[in-house]
Amino acid sequence: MPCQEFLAQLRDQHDSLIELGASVIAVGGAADYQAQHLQDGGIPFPLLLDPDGDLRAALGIDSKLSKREMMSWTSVKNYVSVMGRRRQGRVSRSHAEDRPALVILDHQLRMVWSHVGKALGDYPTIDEIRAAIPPLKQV
Amino acid sequence: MAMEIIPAGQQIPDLELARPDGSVTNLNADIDQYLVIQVLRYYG
Repeated sequence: MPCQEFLAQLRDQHDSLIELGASVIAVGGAADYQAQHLQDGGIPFPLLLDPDGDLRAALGIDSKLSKREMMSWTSVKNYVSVMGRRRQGRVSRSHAEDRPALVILDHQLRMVWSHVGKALGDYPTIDEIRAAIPPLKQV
Repeated sequence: MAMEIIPAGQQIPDLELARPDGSVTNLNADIDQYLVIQVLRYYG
């Protein structure tokens, strides 16, 4: 599934993001068994749960994907491109239309950079993320 | 009306989030200089 494909990209590039001074986490809804399964499968950074959407609300991305966005060419393409490789599990109805996003915060939890998806699997590239992380401050 | 993502520079609260094992952690529990967050849905 598109979110898990991107999670795997973050896993593969985790060391390079650490070298830039970045910690990485993923935060989703209420599927604790799925998060545990992914964690046990080798995701090296924390997979956290936000069943009430507090983080989404704090970031201002608690709007859902619209029907048009869910059925857009990009959503269908991203979904179909990975469905042959992975088996879809159950999706909580309340989280099915959650909008994907990638944000970078500083150590004081101030917004540095964001990408808010407009379709399923709409994430930035790893190169875009690396470019968005400010250079490390010299001590 | 849908909210818009907060602007660069705006701070968010240090939220409590759950780990899959039921324990609780804070958003800033283990930040180096920056924190990259994938906001996802787990089955999608």
